[in-house]
Amino acid sequence: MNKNILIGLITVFFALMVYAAVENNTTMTWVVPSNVSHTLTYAGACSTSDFYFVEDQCTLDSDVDGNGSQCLPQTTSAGGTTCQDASTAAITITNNGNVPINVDGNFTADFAGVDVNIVLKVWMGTGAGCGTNGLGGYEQNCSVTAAGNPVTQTTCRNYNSTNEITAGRLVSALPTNDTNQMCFSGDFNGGMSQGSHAVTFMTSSPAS
Amino acid sequence: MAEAGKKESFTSNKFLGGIIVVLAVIVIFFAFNQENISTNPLVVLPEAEETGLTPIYEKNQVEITPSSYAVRQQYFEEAFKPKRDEYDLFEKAAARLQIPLEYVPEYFALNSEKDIFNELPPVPNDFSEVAYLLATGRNYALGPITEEYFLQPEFYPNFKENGLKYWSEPDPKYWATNGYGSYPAEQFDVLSQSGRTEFYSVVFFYTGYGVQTYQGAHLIPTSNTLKYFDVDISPDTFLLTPTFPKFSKDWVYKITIQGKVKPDTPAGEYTIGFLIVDPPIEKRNEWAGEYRNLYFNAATVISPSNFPITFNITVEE
Repeated sequence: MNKNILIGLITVFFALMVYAAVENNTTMTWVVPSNVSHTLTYAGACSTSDFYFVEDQCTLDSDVDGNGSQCLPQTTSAGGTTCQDASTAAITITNNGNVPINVDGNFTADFAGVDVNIVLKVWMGTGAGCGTNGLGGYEQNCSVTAAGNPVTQTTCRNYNSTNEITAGRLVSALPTNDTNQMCFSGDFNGGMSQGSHAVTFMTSSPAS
Repeated sequence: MAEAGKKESFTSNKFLGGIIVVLAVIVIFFAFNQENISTNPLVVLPEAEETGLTPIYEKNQVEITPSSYAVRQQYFEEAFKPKRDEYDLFEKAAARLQIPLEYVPEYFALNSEKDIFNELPPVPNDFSEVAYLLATGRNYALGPITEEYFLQPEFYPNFKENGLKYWSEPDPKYWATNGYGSYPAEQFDVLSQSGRTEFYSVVFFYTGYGVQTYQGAHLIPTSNTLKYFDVDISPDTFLLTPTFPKFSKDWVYKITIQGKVKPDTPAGEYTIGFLIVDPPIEKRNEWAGEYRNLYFNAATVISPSNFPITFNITVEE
């Protein structure tokens, strides 16, 4: 009788050993990286609010008739000090999170009245500035038109009265711990009255 | 003979008793191990005992890897541990800027490298273990995490790799005016119209690394979110303070977001997005008056749409 109990217990013991062998679980977790963080830097004394395109400082047609192009950003409305040149990019965006990000840009409101003649051109910096005379990626007619295509060092995107509030891709999949320089020209397409024409440009950075 | 039989039976019973005890111990052992597999709410761990072992990592090595230690508990204690005495940021800045070391404090408008972190609370002893739990996704019970933890920049993944460079690799041509981050930026939950209908979440919302300005922020749910959920955000209007040249005490906000699925919301998958917009005008005026050239609206320049904070909610019947 005792023998039978002993055999039974030994059987249970080995069964438990087998149970232990198959139940040695590993919890596998697929984690979505979720620390989203970025920093925007400006050159010189330019900033979110101090970023001026002054017509009489433009490279082409630098006067006060409301018509000019190849105009680099200035640190004050009086002009005279640019924050963009061959060795300096006006804005640099850095991805400090742990997930790649896309960077889009658009204005927050429609251009109205004489502001319909405002044109902003954006292209990518070289990593060491904005190319020749700070205008390396400038095109008379910007060739990046598809909303999802990023700008490059030699091709720009136009923001004008036909697409100003539509998000247009500036940078695709900026890796973590990486930076991307952005360069600008604020052109005047004629008919602009004298004075200040402030419009707000917004860059956004959805996770890619 | 009968006595011998009795003795044999007694010995046999003793033997069986021993086996039963051993089996009971084995069963308890396995039951205990099974419990350890489950995910428990966040527990702030007691201070670990000193092992006296010398880590393999070299001094000044910013990145700590598991293979730096034979004992993994040591790795958990070290992975996120601030090693501020070993960052040597001013030495690196001097080399980068090619200026004498004694000029560096003045360059950063600080008295010493320690000033970078001197407005932050003391680092808890179990800081690295708690940060590691969160970073590896093992525990998302964020409510109990206090400012002694979340105000330390080392709490956030990638800080040592990405954040320290604003001191170690300074570029005087540029200054950071805007930027922010959220952690964990994406969260998940399952609600049920016949069961739990409410969610509660915590997100740490912080100033981007290297930012010198004060940024006014107002956090709102998207209009689409409000069709299906009632949402309460606290605080929803706040001022992000600088992280450069030193961390200020309000550089991170612990945002609590509570929500309730509306009764007529059909079952399905929902993405709840939150946006940063301009603060109310009276707050903007107040902050602009106080901080002048250093005040900016966080939303005007960089606005993570899709989204700075995203909740993926499954609603069941």
